[in-house]
Amino acid sequence: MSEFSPRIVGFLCNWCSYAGADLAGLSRLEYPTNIRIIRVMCSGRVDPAFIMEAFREGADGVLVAGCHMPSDCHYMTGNFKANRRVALLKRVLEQFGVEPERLRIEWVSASEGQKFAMVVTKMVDDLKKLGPSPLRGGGGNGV
Amino acid sequence: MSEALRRKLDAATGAFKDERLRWLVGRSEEMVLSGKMSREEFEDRVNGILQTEIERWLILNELKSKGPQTIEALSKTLGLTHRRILEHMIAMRWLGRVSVVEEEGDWYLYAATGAPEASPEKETER
Repeated sequence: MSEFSPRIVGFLCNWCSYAGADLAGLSRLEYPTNIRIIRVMCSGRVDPAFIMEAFREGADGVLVAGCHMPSDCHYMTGNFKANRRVALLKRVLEQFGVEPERLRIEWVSASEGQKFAMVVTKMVDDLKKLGPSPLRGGGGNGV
Repeated sequence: MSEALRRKLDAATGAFKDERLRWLVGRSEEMVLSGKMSREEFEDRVNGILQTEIERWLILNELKSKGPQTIEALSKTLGLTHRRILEHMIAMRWLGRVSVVEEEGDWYLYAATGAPEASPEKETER
């Protein structure tokens, strides 16, 4: 049987994290190809419904990445909003029996290509340990 | 498990559309920093509202997908108590989200109306 390969949906802010991911590519850094990136103007633009939809459609993990706290956000408070929403969503996912570790928020600046590659690599490793999403036949935490 | 989880995720998606919840989450830091409520109290309130909204959306989605149902049938499908569903029905009838369409024995048959929810201004007028 082939090894489980997690599917990750990544919402990356245009100004910091997407540029960081771009830098990782330009720098020829190696990281797993499991992530599918969706560029948004700000991490604060990521509606909780987007994340729920990603899980509903079978994503094994969702990564939200934005500008560093507290003051790098180009829209002033977008990263704070994203942080609060993700914290709330993690609690909801836990209630539903989905491991909250499947949803992750990270701060990656435009100069942190190395960090972006590390975040994705670590997330893929963690998801491999967790196994497939309960919606793809994985166990979840059985709540 | 996956069908039940999919139902819950749909309900949560609906719940996050709730303006009150969005406003509360958006203002959380200001409210805590202003000393109007403690972080714990704030989180309790958000959790309470979220739980309520998720349950209501579970009921609404069930009524929309399977047509009119009794509280008894909804209770069996959703695993919520009769009392809890009745509380939601009373609130949702008042908000115009569900209506009683007919009686089935001792039970009322409820249907989702699909009507827009009353705005807060309209609510205070009633």
